[in-house]
Amino acid sequence: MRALILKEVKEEKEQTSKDLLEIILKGAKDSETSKAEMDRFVVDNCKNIYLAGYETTSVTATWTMMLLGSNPEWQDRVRAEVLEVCGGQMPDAGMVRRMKTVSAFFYASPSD
Amino acid sequence: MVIHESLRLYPPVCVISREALQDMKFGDIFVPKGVNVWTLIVTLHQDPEIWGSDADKFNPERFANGVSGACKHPHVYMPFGVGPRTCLGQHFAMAELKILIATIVSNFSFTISPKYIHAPALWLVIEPEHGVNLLIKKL
Repeated sequence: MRALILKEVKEEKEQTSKDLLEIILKGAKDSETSKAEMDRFVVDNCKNIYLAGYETTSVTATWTMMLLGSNPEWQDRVRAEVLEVCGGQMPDAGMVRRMKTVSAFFYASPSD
Repeated sequence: MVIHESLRLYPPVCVISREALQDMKFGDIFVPKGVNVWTLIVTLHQDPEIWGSDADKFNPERFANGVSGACKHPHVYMPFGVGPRTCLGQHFAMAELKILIATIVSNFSFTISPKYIHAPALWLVIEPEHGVNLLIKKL
């Protein structure tokens, strides 16, 4: 995986796009550390952001779609709540908080 | 409720590992220093003794009164891990998922396609091996 990320990094250096990877690279460059430490910083951050922060959420969305597709009564309940709370608009922070059927933020695990 | 139930049945990360930094004893089990202990989240999330006889069913209603209302031991529900290393992005991820699901269900209705093959596969995360085929209708 390290090699794969460093290959992406090499390609990124050849173009000038303003994306997250470039910001990570700039952060590494500005830190004035050794090449090995810089590579590690870049690889660790890519693993964190692109894997821990992307794949997990997208796969959860996929499973949720599968479950709602298989359970139409819940899909209807969720849709009714979303329409009631958001009224056809893009959800804002307050609306997100009010959608309890979709998911409530009532995390009360001992780790909190 | 729906996303919590989804995360209960399909936690993307299915194992939490911790290394014993010193000799430890858990009940009758002796864990020597240096041993890696793997906690299987999927198993804990679907144990009928903890969740009841419908543990393997999709029933978001179980979360109507929070995690503590859904099961006997709330601390075993850990889709975002546990302890000081709990997922940094958990609230961000939940907000993202809510916005995504809300946007999709308000614009489309969908049913599972007969082509769908149910095959959860453990790679880095638990993924549907053949993808998820849906029949989608614009509302």
